[in-house]
Amino acid sequence: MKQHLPENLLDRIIAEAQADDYALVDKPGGSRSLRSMSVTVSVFVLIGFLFAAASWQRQTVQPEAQDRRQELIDRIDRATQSAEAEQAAAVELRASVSQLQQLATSGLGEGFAEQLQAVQIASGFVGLTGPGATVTMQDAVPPLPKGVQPDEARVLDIDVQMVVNGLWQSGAQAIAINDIRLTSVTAIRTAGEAILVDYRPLEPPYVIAAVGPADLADTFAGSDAQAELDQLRRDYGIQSEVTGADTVTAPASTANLPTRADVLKGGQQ
Amino acid sequence: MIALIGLIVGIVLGVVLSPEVPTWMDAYVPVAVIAALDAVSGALRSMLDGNFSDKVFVVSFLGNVAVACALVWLGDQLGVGAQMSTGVVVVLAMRIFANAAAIRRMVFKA
Repeated sequence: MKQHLPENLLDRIIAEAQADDYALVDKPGGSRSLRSMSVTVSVFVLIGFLFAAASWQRQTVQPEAQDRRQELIDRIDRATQSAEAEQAAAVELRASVSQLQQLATSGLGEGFAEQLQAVQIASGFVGLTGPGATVTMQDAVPPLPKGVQPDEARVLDIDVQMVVNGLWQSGAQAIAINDIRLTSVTAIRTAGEAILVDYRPLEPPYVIAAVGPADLADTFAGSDAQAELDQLRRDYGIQSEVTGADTVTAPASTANLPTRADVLKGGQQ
Repeated sequence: MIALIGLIVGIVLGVVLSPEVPTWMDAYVPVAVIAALDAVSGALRSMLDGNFSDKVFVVSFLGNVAVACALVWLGDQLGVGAQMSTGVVVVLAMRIFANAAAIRRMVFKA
């Protein structure tokens, strides 16, 4: 059976497919011997087996990947839980250390105890509760200002840094972002789409609590940071709210504090 | 008829044994499946045509699977394995369509 084949490759493939294998063979009708029959049947069995194996593979490979994923999630959860437990233990131990320090230094005079307390507050070693202000920041919600892309209307690490610096400038003594205390070694930065404080991701809304003078909120309202917040609201729709409060809590830091530090002598590096 | 029984026996066997397909065979299973579908559709068509030949069936099935797998293997060695298996699947799928069209014409006369 000969036929004219088209030049075009795709047409040719289709034409050749239609000129099927069986028609091209001289001897139509197969032999009916038992041997050839069993070969045919065994090939059909093989084909069925292939189908079943292929579909079985799809069924089993998928859950396996899911299992692995679940296992990883479980491991992350377990590690996070144990880290949290140990952080809580660290906070407790620090509180008792601070109590012991007070006992030990009670005989060293007024000045020393006060100095120690000031250092402990500044370093985030102890939690602090008192009057202050709370700044709440949140990503913009639609409708966004004209010409602003959704990923532009997010609170960025630099925005949080700017507010924190504004609060320090306004006289804040201790600052915590979503209950993570800021210390001299706490970084506020971005990883992917999340803001990390002390290497821990924050979940919006970003609540920046500052303990300080009673008029902290008013001082902040007149600062450059407030002006920038207003600018962010106008340009990107980022929401922010500054409220003064009588009791604001900044918990003790759970970050690793330096275990050894020397006081620099004047002029010495 | 006997072919259908064979096919069902094979599927049952596959489900019961639930073989673990080795990882190195991952790339070849899809083309082998398509080649098998092509062979089955060709066999069905020729049975309706009345020119089924078991020799042609066995040889064309084994030959097509071997060539398809060899092409994919060669493509893998040359770094175009995925494209090669796509090409194999496209060509075999065209044959399946052609066979299905012939079967349709014979069964429904349309």
